[in-house]
Amino acid sequence: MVKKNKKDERFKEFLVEAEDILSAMGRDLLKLGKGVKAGLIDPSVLNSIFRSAHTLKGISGIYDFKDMAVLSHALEDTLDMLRLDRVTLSDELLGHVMDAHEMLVGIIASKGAGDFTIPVQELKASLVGSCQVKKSKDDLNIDKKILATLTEYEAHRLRDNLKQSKNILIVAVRFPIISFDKGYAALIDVLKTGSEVIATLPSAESVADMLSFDILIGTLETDTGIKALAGKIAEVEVRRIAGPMTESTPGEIKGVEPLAAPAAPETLRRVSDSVRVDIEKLDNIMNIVSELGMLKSSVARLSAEMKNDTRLSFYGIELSRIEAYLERKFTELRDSVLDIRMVPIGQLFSRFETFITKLARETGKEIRLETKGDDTEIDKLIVEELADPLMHIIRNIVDHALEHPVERESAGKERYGTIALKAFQSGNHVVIEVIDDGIGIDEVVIKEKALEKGILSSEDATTLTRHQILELIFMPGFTTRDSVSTTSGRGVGMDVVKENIARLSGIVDIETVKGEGTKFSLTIPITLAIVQALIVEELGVRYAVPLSSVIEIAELHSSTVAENSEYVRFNDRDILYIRLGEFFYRKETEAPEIKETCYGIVVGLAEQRLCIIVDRLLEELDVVVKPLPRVLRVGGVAGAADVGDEGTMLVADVTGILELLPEGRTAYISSEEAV
Amino acid sequence: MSNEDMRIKRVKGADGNTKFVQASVAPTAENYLQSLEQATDTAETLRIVSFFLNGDEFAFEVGMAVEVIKPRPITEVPRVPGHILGLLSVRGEMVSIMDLKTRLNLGSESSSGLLARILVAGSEEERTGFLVDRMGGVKELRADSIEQTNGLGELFKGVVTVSPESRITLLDMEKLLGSE
Repeated sequence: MVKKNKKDERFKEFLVEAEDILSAMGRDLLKLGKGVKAGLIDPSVLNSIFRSAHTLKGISGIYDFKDMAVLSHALEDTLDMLRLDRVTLSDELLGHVMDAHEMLVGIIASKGAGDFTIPVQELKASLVGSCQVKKSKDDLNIDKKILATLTEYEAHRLRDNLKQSKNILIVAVRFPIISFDKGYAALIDVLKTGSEVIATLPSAESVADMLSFDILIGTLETDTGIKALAGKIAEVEVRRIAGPMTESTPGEIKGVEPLAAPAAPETLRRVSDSVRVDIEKLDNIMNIVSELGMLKSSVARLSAEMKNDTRLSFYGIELSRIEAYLERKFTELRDSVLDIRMVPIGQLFSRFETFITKLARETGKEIRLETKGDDTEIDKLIVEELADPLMHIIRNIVDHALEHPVERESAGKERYGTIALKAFQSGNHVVIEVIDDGIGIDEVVIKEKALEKGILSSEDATTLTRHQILELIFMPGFTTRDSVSTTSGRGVGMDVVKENIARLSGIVDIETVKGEGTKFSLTIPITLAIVQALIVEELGVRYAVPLSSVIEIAELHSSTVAENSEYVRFNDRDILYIRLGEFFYRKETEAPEIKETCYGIVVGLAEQRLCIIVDRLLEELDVVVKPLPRVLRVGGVAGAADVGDEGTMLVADVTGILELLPEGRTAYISSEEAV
Repeated sequence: MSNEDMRIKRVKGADGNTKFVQASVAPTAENYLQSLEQATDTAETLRIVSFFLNGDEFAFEVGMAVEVIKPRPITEVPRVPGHILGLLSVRGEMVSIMDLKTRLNLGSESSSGLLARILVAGSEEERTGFLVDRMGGVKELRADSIEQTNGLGELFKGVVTVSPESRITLLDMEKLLGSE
């Protein structure tokens, strides 16, 4: 059909790149913020933020993102003055810089649809307005010829190093042309530990097959010390051009605290070896893998048939040997493709650092973020889907749960509130916990507010379990606030959390202790791309049930499924049951009758359990779950899968089925009250 | 020339070599020639793909059509509107199948028989298969020949009178796909 628009694709790449730059900038801003608090500004961080703004300005110009171009230009100007130390980095200015970063994120998030002209102009004015110009410095006592080759920033770094009573040295080095990049990188690495590399200047002495550089460094070491250090990598000559010479004997070069990473030398080479791939391309590979899987099962069937045929059994055995090998390679292929999709969840967690810093600033609360299990891996697509729900949860915690420092102290808690983000793998799922040490959720207040907002009727209010009351906070329109604040209180947010997590076939749980805090647990499948499924048959139709949610399976006798009872006895526990056919009720089928022997599949997520009864169990298969067209998206169906010769079958969504249980039936096991 | 022969067209490529091109929808010999005649006309024209429901001819713009497939067993989906029969996997993509006769209130008997076809249409993001009694063909119409007829209902764009005995009703695909 229609070929993908080249321009669209490039635009997508642009958005990805801009996102990357902005997230790097966010991290740097956070470091900068911490530094300002400690009274120590790392020049390399400032410079890196400047470079991010500069790159953004460049790419936004290309794609005609006018608001972004104007704002990143203003930001670049401000940061340029900051890194050249021409203006003071005040709290006010830092605030505006952070606002600018946030607005840039907003502009990218709107994909060019929003109009930011007015806020951008306002912010630009605030950025300019809060710059307090410093007096200019005395000139340098350095060779004018060298100064002339330095950029303004490099000259500034030179001055700064002199001010710190460091020696300014020139390290003259030569490398063969073919291997200069490796040698150069190694040398810079060595020099960086303990010194700041101010500039790399090409030298006029380069000859045919050798390249010469003059590397300008600022260091507490002596020239002899540096010579010994750099001499291990390459042939160098070191000369001192300025700074106080301190007495030091060669050989005593050690134990100098490394400075924070100095400005990296300019190079067009990319540091990373990784390739950025559109997830759609991976989905495509995944589809091919699943089709391969079907071919593989056809081969298996064929070899089984041949083995049974006396004339062909020799070939059949040979073929099944090949098929076993194919199976192994196929599994490897599938696992590697899945592996490519996996990213550490720390990528997501780190995005919340700036977010929390900003919320803390806005609310006047003191908040600390702790993360654990950052390297837990999860599907890239799922990570993106988790961003919004986690943001809403954190927003609510900051606004409703965490107390002001004074209140906390009087309650005998630490001044700062803590939000912990923890991730760990549990079978085929990843559990993400958001834990705070705030005031906890008060059920009485929840109940009152729900009654007030008309979400809950007064008859229902008396019969609700504790768990059901807590669930009320996920209802659309629920809020405990009477007025709307900038962060939350609009009654929008927590319902989005529940909805988004359910869409990922996941589940949200809350545990709370009044006065001590709350824990939100999100249980999410590791990947949605390929799932191991149990193929079952019910009323002549085949369905796939994801194995990740299956807890146990047992053969049942129709007498076990007591009549008029909603519960089935399963290993000495009563579990609510439902017939799969009853759930997937079809027009022309009559009320399903239970066969003499049937099978019970106990599924569950978190502490919910449900026994799904089916006629037959057929096999276990890896299936690629494909999304359904809009009109077919109904509760309880996660998607559909092609299963070779068996055709297409629906994939049951256990979360959806649990949600859609008829009124009054609850799948919570009885221990629930003890939580 | 029979209908089957028309499925593959012989086309002179830009490099002078003859290529075989498979038409996405098989036109009949008659209206293929007709469309060639009309192509020389300077008036604004509209290419449509037509099909039959209860003996009446219906059509929509050919640009919306993707392909025609023979009916295969459809996977039913619970709790969807009555005119949605379920889903089919078409080249690895899940496509919802609409019973066009039910949707247009032309009776509740689904199209069946040897000539019944599923006409897949829609955008790249989302496609729908329409179950029809039989295919007509690709035709070219003058845009100004479409009569805006009141009272047809919002799913229709108008009617084209081809000859005293033959009328084609044009469907508004955007409304039809949007309304599912």
